[in-house]
Amino acid sequence: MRIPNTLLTSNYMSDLQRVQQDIAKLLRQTSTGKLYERPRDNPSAISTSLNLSRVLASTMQYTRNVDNGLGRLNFTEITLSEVNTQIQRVRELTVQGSSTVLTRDDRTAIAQEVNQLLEHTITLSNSNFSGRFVFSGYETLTESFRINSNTQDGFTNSVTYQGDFGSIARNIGIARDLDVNFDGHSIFLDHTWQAQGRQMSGQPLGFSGTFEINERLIVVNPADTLADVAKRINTDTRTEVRAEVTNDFRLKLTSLNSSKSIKLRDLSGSVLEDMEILPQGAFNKAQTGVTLPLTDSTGALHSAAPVPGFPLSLPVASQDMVITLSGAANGGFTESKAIKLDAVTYNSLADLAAEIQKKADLAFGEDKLIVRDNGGLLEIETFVQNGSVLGGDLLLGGTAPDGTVDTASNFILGAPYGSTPTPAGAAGTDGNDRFTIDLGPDAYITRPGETPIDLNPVEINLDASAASLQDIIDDINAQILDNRYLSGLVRAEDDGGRLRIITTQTGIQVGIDDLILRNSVPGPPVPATDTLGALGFYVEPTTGESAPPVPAQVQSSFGWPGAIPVVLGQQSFSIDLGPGSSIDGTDPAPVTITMPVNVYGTEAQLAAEINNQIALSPVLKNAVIAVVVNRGGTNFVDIQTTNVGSGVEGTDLQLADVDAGMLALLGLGAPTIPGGGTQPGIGEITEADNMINTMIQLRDELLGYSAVQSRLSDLHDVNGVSYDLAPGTEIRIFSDGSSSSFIVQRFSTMQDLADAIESKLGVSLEVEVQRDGRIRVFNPNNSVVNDIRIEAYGLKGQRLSAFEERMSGISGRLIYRAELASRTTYEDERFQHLTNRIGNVDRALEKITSTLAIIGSRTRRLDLTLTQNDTLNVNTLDLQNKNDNADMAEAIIKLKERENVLNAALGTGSRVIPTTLFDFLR
Amino acid sequence: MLRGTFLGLETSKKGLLTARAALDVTGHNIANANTEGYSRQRVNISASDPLSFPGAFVTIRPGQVGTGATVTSITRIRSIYIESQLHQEHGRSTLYQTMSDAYIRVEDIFNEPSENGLNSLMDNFFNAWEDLSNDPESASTRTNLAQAGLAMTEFVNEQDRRLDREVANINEQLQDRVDRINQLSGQVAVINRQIIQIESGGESGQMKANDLMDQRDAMIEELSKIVNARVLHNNDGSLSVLVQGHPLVNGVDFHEIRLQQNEADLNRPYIEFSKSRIRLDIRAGELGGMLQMRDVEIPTVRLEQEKLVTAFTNRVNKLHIGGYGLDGISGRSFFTDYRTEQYGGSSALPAGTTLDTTLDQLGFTSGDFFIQGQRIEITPAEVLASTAITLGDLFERIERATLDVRVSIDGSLGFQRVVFEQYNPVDSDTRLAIKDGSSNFFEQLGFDNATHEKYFLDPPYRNSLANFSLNPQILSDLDSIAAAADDGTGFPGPGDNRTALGIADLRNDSRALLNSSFGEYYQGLVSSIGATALTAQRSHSTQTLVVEQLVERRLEISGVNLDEEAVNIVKFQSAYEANARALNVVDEVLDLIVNRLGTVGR
Repeated sequence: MRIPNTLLTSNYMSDLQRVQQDIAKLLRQTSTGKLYERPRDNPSAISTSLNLSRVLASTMQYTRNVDNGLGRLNFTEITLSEVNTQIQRVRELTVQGSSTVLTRDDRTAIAQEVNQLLEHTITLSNSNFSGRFVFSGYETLTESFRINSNTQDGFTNSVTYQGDFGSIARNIGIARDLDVNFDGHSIFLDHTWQAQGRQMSGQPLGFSGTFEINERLIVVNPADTLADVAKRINTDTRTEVRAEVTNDFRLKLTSLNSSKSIKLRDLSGSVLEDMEILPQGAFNKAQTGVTLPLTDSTGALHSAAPVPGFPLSLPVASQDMVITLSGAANGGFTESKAIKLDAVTYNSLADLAAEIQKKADLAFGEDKLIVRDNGGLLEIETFVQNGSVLGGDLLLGGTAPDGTVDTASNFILGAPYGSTPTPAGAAGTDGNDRFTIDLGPDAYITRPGETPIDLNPVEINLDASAASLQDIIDDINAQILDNRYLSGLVRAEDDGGRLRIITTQTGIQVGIDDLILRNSVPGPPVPATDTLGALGFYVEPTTGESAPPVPAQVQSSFGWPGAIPVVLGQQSFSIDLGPGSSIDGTDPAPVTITMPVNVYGTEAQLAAEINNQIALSPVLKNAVIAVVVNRGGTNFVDIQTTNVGSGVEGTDLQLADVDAGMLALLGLGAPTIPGGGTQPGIGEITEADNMINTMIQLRDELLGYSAVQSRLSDLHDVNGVSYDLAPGTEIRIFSDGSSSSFIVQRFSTMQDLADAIESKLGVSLEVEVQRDGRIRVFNPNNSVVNDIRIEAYGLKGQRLSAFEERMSGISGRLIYRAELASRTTYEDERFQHLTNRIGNVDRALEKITSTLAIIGSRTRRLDLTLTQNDTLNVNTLDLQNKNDNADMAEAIIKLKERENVLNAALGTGSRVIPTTLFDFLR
Repeated sequence: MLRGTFLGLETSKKGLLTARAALDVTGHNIANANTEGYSRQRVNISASDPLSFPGAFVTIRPGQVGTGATVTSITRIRSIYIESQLHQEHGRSTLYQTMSDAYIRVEDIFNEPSENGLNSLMDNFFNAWEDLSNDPESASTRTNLAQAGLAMTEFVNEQDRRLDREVANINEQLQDRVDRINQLSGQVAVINRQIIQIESGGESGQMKANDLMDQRDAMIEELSKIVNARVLHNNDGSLSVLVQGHPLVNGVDFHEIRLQQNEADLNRPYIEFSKSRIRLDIRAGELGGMLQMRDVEIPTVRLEQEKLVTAFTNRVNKLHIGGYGLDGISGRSFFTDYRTEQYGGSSALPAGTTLDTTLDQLGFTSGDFFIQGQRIEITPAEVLASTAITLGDLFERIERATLDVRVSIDGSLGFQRVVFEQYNPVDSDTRLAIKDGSSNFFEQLGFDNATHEKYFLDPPYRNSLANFSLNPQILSDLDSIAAAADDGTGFPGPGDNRTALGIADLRNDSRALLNSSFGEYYQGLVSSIGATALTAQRSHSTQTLVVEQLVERRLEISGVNLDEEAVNIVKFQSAYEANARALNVVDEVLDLIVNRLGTVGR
């Protein structure tokens, strides 16, 4: 091979250049600390680097979000803790105040303190966190509560919630949101009326029909989901009812007005029933379980319905709960463990949750599951919560390795039972009452050795001799025992006065449809020959001599709203007045009352019409009266005698059907629900007076008066002159050219009158009874309302001009004056009232406690997220460091090495290159 | 017959001249030892024709007497094979070098990884939305968000300008290279002519225009770096240079090429022969590299980035339009929305149709259709009454499958109809493409005589990068940034952060853009730019080694070795001395004849 001289130098030069390029690259690495400068330096590492920096940026942001959420939750927690302190004190004061030995001054002092506590609570309810009102929902810049105070003494009369029900979430991870606010209404103006429907799905409902809520028409289409229906209700009844879909897909209706019930009625089809807002039959559910895998990624389960009834009076049945944990929630392993619960009486759901938690920790190890009381729901959740945990990673049910079969899917501590107490004698008294028990295949399947089949319904005939609920229960159980299909599978029992029928089989597959009860004789008409008892009436036991004297009274056992509106043809019933309640001591013949053809939209209208008819009879006039009575949150129309004397006995007032089904149509009996069943009323009503109202009323009761409860017949003007508003007085309300009337009943209160005025005026105006006994008509919209006039007519039709009031051109507020003269009317009842209040105070406390518990669990979750994020952060930083950053030591060593090579090359090159043969010639 | 008296003188003279010529060539070699492109030359010496002397030694046939040596030719030592290989490899080397260099600028345009690249800017943007969700009532989080949005739009606008500038630069350089090719091929033609003249002057194969040939070789080498030139050697010593099979130089003729304006695309002039107008598709050399960058690489990178920005704009806007600002107004976009095209049904939908209407109610059948070339499928289950999806679901599917289409129910013509609208497409050439398939989708929606409208925007829409900007309304009034959601009952309140949460969540939407999230898509784009750049750079390095080796091989053959030349000098010097000495001998012989003979009689 020839080596020309230029070849030597050119090779030498290119080699030198390569070394110098290496040096340049290494120098850059050491000066920037980064392994790469541009994408070509290592495309895949750059890709990783971009990804890691995104992860880092979002994790740091999530941490910021969590910190922010924690700040807000902590603030809320501190505020509510203080509210808790206030309410605790209120409770003490209530107990003190109900003592009979207190003087009036003592009570006034207590009332003053209650008032201070109230004011402070309201201040707390208007708390703001860096300028944002925390209890206002989305209306964070609006004060949560407006105080309506009395013009005379400056006392707070009522508060109006100005926020909404928006829930504000913080983004605490990929597709993980956490609510950080609580709307003030649900805490301070607690749900007063609530109806909750059956568990549905998120899918279109598939049925159609129309129904009314508070006289507003709601149409349901087959394509609607429950959420659509809720949205429609909210749009149409904005200020009255809040509809929402619960986590387990129930339609929940909440009355936004603390003193109003929700009125529901089916107009077509059986919508309400389909949604089970109206329960189907007296017994509407089989035992059902907590098998509810949520679709979100947290692997949480919670019970299908709030677990009612704590503290439990009975021990929880000894049972097993099989929990299966798999996937990311359990480090990739699938394990089934049996949690054995002993028969223990628990004081609270939290205690029960703690017990399950303890056993779950033992079974799976700590940090695998979180069990807690989440606002009345028993909630089981996986500890690990991230995108890789799936809903199916936590399952209840199945068989544990030790052969334990899950009974926990039936882990409900209350349901099912008839939704109103079953009065003794209400059923099974005429030998003609029967119903069927239909057992589905799954309730039956656990019976060994037999093929699962869905049996025909078994008919139960109730014995006519039943005298008490226990008799009925014994009767049913005896018949169940005799039946080879039901024996050992179904049981009837007494649940605090309510009849309950349940399956005893608790296999994992027992579903809600596996126990169905139906009336054997469907629907109305109730035969005219039927007894009042069968129609839901029973006679209030009264004795002539015993104190206190009460009017003889026939009381309907079923509430009214289920039958509204009542369309009547010309239908009659009779009222028979006995000797003790008649004026002259003789026993008059029964008087037939014939109702005119009309549509009755409210209980008051119906009662008024009955009174109109009564007034036509010289015998009954002034002796009998129909009144609207609220019992247990439902309005009832009762017919009673007006005289309260020692000689009045229960048998002195008797009703009888003249036309078939009349009473039933009047709502005094049982209205018919399509598909069978005779249970009226709104499903699953819970009633609790709200926190603020409780305190206001407590204060007023301690002071010795309560305007809301004041009877109209006790009204006096400021000069002490009595208004002649005896029962039967008609108050006519005129507005915009039309009128309606309100008949004063014996026990009509100011609140009743206010309601009547409001129903006449419509929703655009707010009508309320002030603490001082005046009715205030308030126009929140500042719109002009024409000519509202109120007139009163006495029993003889004479116009009671002293009572008249006229107002027009309303803008802002006007007060209808009807002042109370006597503030001591209810001195006697105070003790009873105050005792009742303790229940409400306790509920307020429960509300606060459970909210604090929710805050606690959320805080814990946020803390957990924070820790996870920190770990993730550190790991990501570490990865990024390894991926992006140059190893300095390595770079410097390499640099030194290259430098040596370069030096050597330069040194040798400079000596070797020039030499040629010419140097040696000559 | 006797030999000539002075024959010996003549022979020696030839020897002297030959040695002298050899010394000259050696000196020339030494002088050019470091000349670039110089090929060492060799003197070809042969014995000159002998004289025949009949009966000189043998009487039967004439004997032959040598007449000395003569220089037959001076030739270059050079390998044509290596030469042609070099031309090819040069072409490839410069192709990759050009691409590699140009990609450095593309990488700079993306500026990754750094704190200022789009990756970080997008993170900042989403983080700003998160901050807004934490405090939707505040003005400062809104300012921050607007700034984050501005930083992103400005960065993307700058990318658009720099990509354009890169194309413009390439076009300038193309002109420069074309000029240089014309210059070189002209010179080659001139040298060809000179060589033909010189070489035709002597006997065949004897006259070699060595140095001219070296010059010409150097020019061809330069040419081969610019384009993929192939060389043909003609018999007359001239060369032809072919590009893509078309002669650039043909002996003494050369064909000029030029950069011709492309009417179809003003940004992409092409190269053609000036006279024949044959268009050249150049795939190698610097030109090849530039054209590859201009016509393939940069448009691809640009398109990917445009897709990202189109999807980003449309996804964010879709959510933002549905949200409420702090001022209680909804329906505003966050980024400026450019509606470019619209297709609407011609007849009314069934009365009462809403987004919640299910497909079975509309009488749809299963099957497919195509929007923007994407196949949209309706499965049999989706039109069954029990499991049907809603029109809204289907619309969302269409919007997800395409980058730039929004579907809505429109009532602007006085009746309800379905309208497809194109918003913020990747560029102004992208059309709204709707094609029927096996479903009866379009028939049911009344698309028999669909109305089509193309919007001519003022200023004209260019592409999603250039037109990426914040809605001016947002900038002028920060309260118009929508953090609150719409649940059908008006403005929910200043504390509502659901829209902000929704937009922030877009960062994790794994189907935001063709089954990947925005971040993943961008990451893939940057990584593929890096990979292409790396391939070009590596290919260039490999190619450089190949070229270096070939150059070495060429040097081995053609290069001057001074040692060798030194030996030659010594050799030819000795030859010269020896010839001189031989001449002396002849001289002395003649001297003897001339001066000593015949002195006997004196």
